[in-house]
Amino acid sequence: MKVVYFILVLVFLAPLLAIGNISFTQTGLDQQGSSILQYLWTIFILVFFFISLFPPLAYRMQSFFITRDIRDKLMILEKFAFEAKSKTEKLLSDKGVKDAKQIVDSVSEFFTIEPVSIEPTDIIKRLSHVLRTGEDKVRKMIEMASPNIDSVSRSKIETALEITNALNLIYKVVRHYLILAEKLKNFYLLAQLQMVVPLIVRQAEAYAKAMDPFIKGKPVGDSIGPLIASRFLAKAERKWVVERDTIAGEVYFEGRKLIIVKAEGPSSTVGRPGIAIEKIVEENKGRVSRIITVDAALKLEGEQSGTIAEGVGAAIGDPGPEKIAIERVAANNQIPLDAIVIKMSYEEAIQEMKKEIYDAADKVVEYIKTIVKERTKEGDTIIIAGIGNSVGVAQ
Amino acid sequence: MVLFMVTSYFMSRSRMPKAEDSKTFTLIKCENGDYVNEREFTEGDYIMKNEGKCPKDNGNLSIVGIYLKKIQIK
Repeated sequence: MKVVYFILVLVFLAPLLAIGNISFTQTGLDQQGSSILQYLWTIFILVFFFISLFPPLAYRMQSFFITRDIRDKLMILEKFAFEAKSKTEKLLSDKGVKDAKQIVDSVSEFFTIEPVSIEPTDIIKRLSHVLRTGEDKVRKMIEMASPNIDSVSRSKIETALEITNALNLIYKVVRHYLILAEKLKNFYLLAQLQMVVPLIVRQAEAYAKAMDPFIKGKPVGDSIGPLIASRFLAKAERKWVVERDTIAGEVYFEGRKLIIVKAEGPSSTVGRPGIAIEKIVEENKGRVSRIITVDAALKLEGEQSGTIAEGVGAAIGDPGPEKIAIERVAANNQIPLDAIVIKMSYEEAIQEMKKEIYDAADKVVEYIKTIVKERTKEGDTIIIAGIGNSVGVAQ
Repeated sequence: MVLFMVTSYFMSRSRMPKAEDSKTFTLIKCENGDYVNEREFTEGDYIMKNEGKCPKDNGNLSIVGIYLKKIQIK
């Protein structure tokens, strides 16, 4: 094969070298100048053809540039992970935690093993158990390190630790594939990684920017659901804790009883709205005429942030346990499920709430009132769940 | 060639939009809705937080919104 390539090089090279010779002599340059240019031209042609017609060399050169590009992006990911750790350590130290670095290092390597899926029986129960065990473990770690910490500060630390864990994992996975591709000298693995890394960096940047709003207690885009629920709860006659980190309130509107569900704010938590809705329906013996869930949804490129859309189903983006609880209780009791979503990008959902998204809240409140008036009758009970993170949104 | 590059640079500079920045604002509203105030966010603010009495009708004053808004830098 190498002989074939060599012959091909000579076949293509000869005419080009000949052209080079003719063109320089025709320009009328002086003899010394034209001979230097001829040498340079010859060297250029030789290099060009060896690279393009000798694949291993071409791949090595491309791999060099691709590796350099990926390493630049990897440094950015490392910076995000390092800054997240520093901010979380500072947050813990400010709350009087002595071994902040040890806690951050431990939680940044935390992992959750998915339950066995080849046997799907009771997989939701097993998944829910695994997720709750993980949440409780981190919560207890923080409470042991700072026994007198309030729930809002503890929730901020939990969120900061989650973000640190995610950024650390992203950095380590990209580094793993880069080192693996270099060890195996696999050009195609490098090329695939180079194609994907810009999207990964964009996502990691969104996570890194999300730390500040959560630490400072500012509502994020995903808080739009709890914000809408809080509009109804402002006039609630009765409020109670229905499930861990989740509250409900009773409001009367046009002769209907509205039970509003949201995560307990202003802590940074999503609560357990699915289990809460299940409990409320059981307490009302299934006599609920409608369940309306309101949540943030990812927009497609080209769509405007803050636009509202209606659909059916449970508008909740959890791994499964909460969503299935809503679907099961609705299906068992034949309760229609309305879903209202407010469109935003992934970055907008986890960063500070923008004005255009905030402005959608009042529109959605009026929309829900219209649904209640048109699709239910006096005396009905309707559950309205504001799904999302309730950071900065109380009730 | 150089003259063209310099001219096009200065022409593009004049068309550049004004620099924009974003700031977080807190919206405070009276219960009756007849008094609204927007100020810069301070740590500790949260939606539904009581901010005292309304200066107009002595009703309840509370935070109803916290959002990021773009501001023009002159």
